[in-house]
Amino acid sequence: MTRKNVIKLISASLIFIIIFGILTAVLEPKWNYYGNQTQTRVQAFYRQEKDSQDVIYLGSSFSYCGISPLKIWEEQGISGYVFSNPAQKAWISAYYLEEALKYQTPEVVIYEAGAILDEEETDEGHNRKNIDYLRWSPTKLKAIMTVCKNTGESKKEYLFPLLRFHSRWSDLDQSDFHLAWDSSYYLMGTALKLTTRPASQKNIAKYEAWQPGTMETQKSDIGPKCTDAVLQMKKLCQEKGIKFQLVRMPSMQWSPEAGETVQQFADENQIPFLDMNLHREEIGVNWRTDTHDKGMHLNILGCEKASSFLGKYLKENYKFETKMSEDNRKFWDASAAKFNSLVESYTLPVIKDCEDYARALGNEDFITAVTVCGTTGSYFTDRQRQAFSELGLKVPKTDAEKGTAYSALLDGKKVVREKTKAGVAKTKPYTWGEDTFWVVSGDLSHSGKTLVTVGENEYKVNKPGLNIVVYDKTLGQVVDVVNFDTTQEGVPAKHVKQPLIEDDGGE
Amino acid sequence: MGLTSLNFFLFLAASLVVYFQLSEKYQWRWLLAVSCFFYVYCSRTLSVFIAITCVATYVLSILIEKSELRYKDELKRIKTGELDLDKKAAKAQNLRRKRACIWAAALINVGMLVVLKFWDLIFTDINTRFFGGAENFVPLLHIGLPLGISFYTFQAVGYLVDVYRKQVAAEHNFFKAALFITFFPQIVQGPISRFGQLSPELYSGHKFDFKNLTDGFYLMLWGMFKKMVIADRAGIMVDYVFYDYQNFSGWQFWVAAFAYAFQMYGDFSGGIDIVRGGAKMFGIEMVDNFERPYFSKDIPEFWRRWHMTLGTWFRDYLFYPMSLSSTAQKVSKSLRKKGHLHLAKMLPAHVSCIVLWLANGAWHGAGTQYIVFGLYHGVLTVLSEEYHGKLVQLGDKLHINQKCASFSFFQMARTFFLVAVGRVIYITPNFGASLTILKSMFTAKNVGIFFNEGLYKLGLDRPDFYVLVFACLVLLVVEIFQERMKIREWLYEQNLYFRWGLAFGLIFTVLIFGVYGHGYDAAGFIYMQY
Repeated sequence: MTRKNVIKLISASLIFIIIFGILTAVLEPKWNYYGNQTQTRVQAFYRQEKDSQDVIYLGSSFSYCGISPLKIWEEQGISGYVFSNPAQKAWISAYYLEEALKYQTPEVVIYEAGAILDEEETDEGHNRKNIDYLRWSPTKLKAIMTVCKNTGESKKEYLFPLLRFHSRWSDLDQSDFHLAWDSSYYLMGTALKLTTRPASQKNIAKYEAWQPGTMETQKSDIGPKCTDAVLQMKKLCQEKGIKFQLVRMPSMQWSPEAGETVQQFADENQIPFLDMNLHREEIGVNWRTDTHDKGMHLNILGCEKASSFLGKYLKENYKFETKMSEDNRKFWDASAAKFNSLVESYTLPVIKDCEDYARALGNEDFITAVTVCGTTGSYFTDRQRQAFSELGLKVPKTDAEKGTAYSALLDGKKVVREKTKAGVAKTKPYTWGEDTFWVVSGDLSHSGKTLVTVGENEYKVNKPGLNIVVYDKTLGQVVDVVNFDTTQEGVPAKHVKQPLIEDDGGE
Repeated sequence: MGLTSLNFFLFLAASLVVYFQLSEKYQWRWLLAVSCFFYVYCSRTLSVFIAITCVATYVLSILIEKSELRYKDELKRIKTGELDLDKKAAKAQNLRRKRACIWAAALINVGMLVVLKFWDLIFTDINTRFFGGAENFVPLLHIGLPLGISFYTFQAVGYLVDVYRKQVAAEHNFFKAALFITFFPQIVQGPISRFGQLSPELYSGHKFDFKNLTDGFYLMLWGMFKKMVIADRAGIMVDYVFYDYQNFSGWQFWVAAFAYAFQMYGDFSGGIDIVRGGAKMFGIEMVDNFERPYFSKDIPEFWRRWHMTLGTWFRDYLFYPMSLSSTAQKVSKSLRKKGHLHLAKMLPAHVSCIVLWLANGAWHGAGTQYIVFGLYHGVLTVLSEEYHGKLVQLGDKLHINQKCASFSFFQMARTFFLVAVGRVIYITPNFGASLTILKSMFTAKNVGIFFNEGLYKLGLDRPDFYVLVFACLVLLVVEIFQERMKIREWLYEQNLYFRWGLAFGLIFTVLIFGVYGHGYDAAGFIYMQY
């Protein structure tokens, strides 16, 4: 072959590789859902400042649903990252740890033990969520070989994802072409589970009856694959002088015998084990409000509680010397504030009591529009009025026959607009950031005019009684629209679901 | 190891690298080694059958040649008086010996093919019909079909007949003879090569030529486009409609029938392009098997452009022997004596044609539908040959311009239509179902499917349907160009950037739009089962 032809061949090969790589990046599923950014979780880990994490949290969905490193940072000053993914098996967690230790030198590695009793391999979709976005390295290759050996899946389709996902060409949307890194990610691996699906009372009673040593059923065993994987994780940590700890998040997908099995295994192998299900009273998980899937996983409210407990535990049991640049610390502080804001915003849609709701509105992060549509009716109590007046709002007791129009706007705890009038009460516009707020209300003859406008969005809040629209300044969006029907006994609440963050519901 | 699999390309690449490291003297040996490896890898224990064919073909070709040499020697000795034997008797003996070899070849090679292909099919049917169970009387073989048995059997028989006819000399090196039969690119689905054409290509060495490499690469790429983007995609619709035919009707069958026409062409010609491209990389030229058959203006022309090597094989080894046989000559003579001059000229050809087409139909499968398929094309061919002249005269009388583009287009459309209908005859497992489908096609009323998104409910969603249509249009445009020029030669005249742009475009079209991998039932090539 002539030199010219060799150059042609090499050039053509390089061009092929580049185009192949771009097409792979476009056609690969992004594995990001609004409630669970599985891809971003992995990619963001690589972007953490080197050796800045005090704790690495490993495991499956229980870890990223239940642990918020931002909460732990805010309360205890301990940094961490939840480096896990859905249905992650113990052997994949071992590879994750091997990968993590190339970039971080934590004080502690915590393995969430939800998958420790499960020797069965998972399906391709979950395996891909776990493996596809790891950086190419011998570790990733080992993970691929292990998975393909266990499942019989095609190695070449893992090595060249384009061969697997080429048929996605007809399902591509805008997000597939958005290949640049999204620097707004701040969650440190936590999944935002912002829905509530309560556990049944029966299951709650059963869970609350758990006590170690009281069950008569046989203990289950930890299988060989999981045993090897956990011991491998321990060994990796020991080699680098890192402490290794097992933890089990609060979950109804557990049992006292499972806990005892893991405890026995932990004792035999000198691994500390914290079963948070045994500390449920101290943690205070409410299985009616703190779970997004009937008790299997925590939602954001449960995550906050569990993280608070875990943070205290870490502080009491380990010593941390967080190595982090000043800029990174500021980023962590801002991220923690944003996370809190999100939790507070999420708390609003679950409040059913008008007085409690009014008290929750006193938040510097909110801009709140309050309107009376038609009339406050005869069930608007003095206590409720008092709760609003503590915010500075003078919500009137309205005329029974004609009603009264009332429009008000709160910025944080400050009343910036307020108008009471017969007929139609329309406030002057109020601008915050890029959004302008208008609040209009009408008395009984003009109730249909009741409307709140935020930027370009209109919220028709013309149900009888009090109508409230809450805007979160940190999130830059409306987080709740609620009607308290003060014309009815009991003042029932009706929240209009806002797209806070869509939940994929499952993991 | 399918022709479009990654394993095949890696295997081909490795074979090429070693081939060009070896001196030309050893190259054919390497080809034999990789061909044997390829065959055993694909067929495992069934490889014994190709081994029998190789041995039988080699031995019988030597015996045929020895018989001929013996006859020549006998003639010399008869001339010199050494041998007391009549020349005619010597000739007759020679012919008998050679024919015995041919019959032995037929018995062994074709016999194996017939038994392996049809035994289980036929006796399952007989056992079930008459004895109440698939294996209740005549035991079944449960052997399976060796890879490419039809193709290599025809090729071996063709070689023997060519030796018999003294068109080629017998190959005295067993391993070279074996290479001719087992050469790995062609073993999957042809083409059915002639010894005289292929053997010099195989046995002579080749120096590495970058142009052969790129030529072969472009050909393989084009073949993959036809197979993976067009054929396999059309196949989804075909399977969806015809295997669940009770849920479809009328125009839906027409759309699927046209898709089937493209599936067959894309699959078969695509595979041949991959085979020829792979061989070209070694520097080995193989004959083409397709010459843009859907541009044919009548059925005979279609079959001269479609699967050309099988067509010429049937012509040279079945049609001519039958139509020029002594029996045919006698019939012809008798008809001429009675004054039926046209019949005397055409009847042997027509009868031979029908017999040939029945054989062709049987080659496709054992069921009634295959026989009817063969008969259908046999009758159309005979009618075309018989009435072509009269139709031209009729056209002239009606002042129809039969040389203009629109008339040519009409002829092509007519041929395409007839071929598409013919394929429906054997598309389903039983003939009754095919009849039901045909009846529905010719009483079609549901033309609404073209307006109410019904086209996207035939197994392909809208995006896939559009890709299929667009790919077929690309195929059509390329083939229009091919009718007028040697397209690869034209390509080499273009700038490098253009060529690379086209090549990369085609590569990534195949990678992205190709029907392969998870979720696709992308089985091997259709003709691999033959």
